[in-house]
Amino acid sequence: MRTLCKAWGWLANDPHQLIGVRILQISIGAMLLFQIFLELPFARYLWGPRGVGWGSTSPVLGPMLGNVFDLVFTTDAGVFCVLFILGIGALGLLLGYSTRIATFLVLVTFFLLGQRLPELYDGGDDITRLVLFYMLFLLPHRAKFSSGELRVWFHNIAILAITFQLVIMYVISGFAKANGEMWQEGVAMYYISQVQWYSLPGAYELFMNPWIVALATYVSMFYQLLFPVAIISRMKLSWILLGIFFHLSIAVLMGLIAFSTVMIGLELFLISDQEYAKIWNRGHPFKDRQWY
Amino acid sequence: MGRCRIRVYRKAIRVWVVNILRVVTVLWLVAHFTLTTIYVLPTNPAQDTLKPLLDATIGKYFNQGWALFAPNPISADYELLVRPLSSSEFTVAQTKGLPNDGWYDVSSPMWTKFQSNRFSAYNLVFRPSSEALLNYLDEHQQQQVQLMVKTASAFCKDIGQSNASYVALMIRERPGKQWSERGTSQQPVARTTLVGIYPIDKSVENIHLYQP
Repeated sequence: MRTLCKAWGWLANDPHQLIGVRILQISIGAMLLFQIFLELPFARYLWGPRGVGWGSTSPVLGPMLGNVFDLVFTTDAGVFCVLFILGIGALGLLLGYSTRIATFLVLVTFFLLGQRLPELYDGGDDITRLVLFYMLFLLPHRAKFSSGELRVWFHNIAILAITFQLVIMYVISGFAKANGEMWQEGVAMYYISQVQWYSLPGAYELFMNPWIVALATYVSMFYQLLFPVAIISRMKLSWILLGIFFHLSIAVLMGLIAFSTVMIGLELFLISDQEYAKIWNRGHPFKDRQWY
Repeated sequence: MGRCRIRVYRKAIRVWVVNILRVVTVLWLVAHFTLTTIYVLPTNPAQDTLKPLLDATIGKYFNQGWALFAPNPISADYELLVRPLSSSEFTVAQTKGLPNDGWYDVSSPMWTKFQSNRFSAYNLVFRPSSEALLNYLDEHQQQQVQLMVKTASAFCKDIGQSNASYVALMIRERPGKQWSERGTSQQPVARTTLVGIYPIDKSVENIHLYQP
């Protein structure tokens, strides 16, 4: 009963992870603006009426609403309009301006582009799409609130939803790896290093070393499998730091910059406001000293 | 006095409604992530039992799969090979087969350029074709073929192949060396899969990635 009351109080009283939310918004906003900048010269080829895009929103929205939204991609102007709105939303997230509206604009346009060309999106885009939905229920940046308000409750439910989604992603990914022979034998990174699409010249030589390949392979797998336990333990901050290093390596070696940006944002999202305060104070030990 | 009582009742109802909403959101959270977990796990009896519900909820609105480089990672390079054909070459190919020369590898240049600049668009722009190629090898779906045809058509436009009316597509798989053969000079044998010969889509947008 006491636990239930504590849990109720945690959800009801004060909004959590305000700093983490801001970091997540910045990382998603930055990632989207980066992608728009890269994709804009090829927008007609990717999503236009004479491009490679072929999909429809009908499977999700139904035939009536789907056909209305699909009209957007029947002209080049429609494509650029979608990208423009996505850019506005991404900028709003990055700058912390009208973040709820910005999240909505990003979610809708991101969904439209993904339905038009499903092959363009990777795991990073999938987690972004899911998290954007939950982010709709977060308190807007710099919103004034009172303890116990219903929207504080919704904010904290959204915090839990984002956390659970991230945990599911890591655990299932680790579980799937654990079922693979190459991961079990500690050589998976060696095989990936030979795939031009996901490696750099020199990576093959690096992962020919038995110690390096075994370490990289097993760390990747166990990091994901142990993630839910680690983030509720004393090892939380160290685990998050390891995760950031893991994703920076992915960005450099595999070129998955957008994916890594979002994942680093999600890792930093998990650090509580109190933990950020402690880190800040540790980094500024002389901040409040009076030098007289 | 009457108005005061009405205000008290309204406040009580508001508190009740808010608390019910709170409980509902918690129930939604539990149900949603229970269904999500069952949906993303490998095939299991619970999934089979709940398939209609899962497809209508998570599968439709929160579709996700987290087998990232798993159970085994991709371990080969898959290249899209393109052979532009004029009308006369197409006629000859119907009886004598496709020529051995004049094939273009449209994938490798993209990878090389992406490796030299991680902040470039090569990865993003070519990803749909790469995915179509891999998906085609699993299931020979017409949609994947159409995507490859459009990519090939855009390539032909880029390199100025205005005479070509048809395009032959082939997928070449270059497996990586086995761990036990690393450091040796043995090269694994490449395999090719002929996709087919298709009319060039002359209306496709220019891609401007292959121009010299």
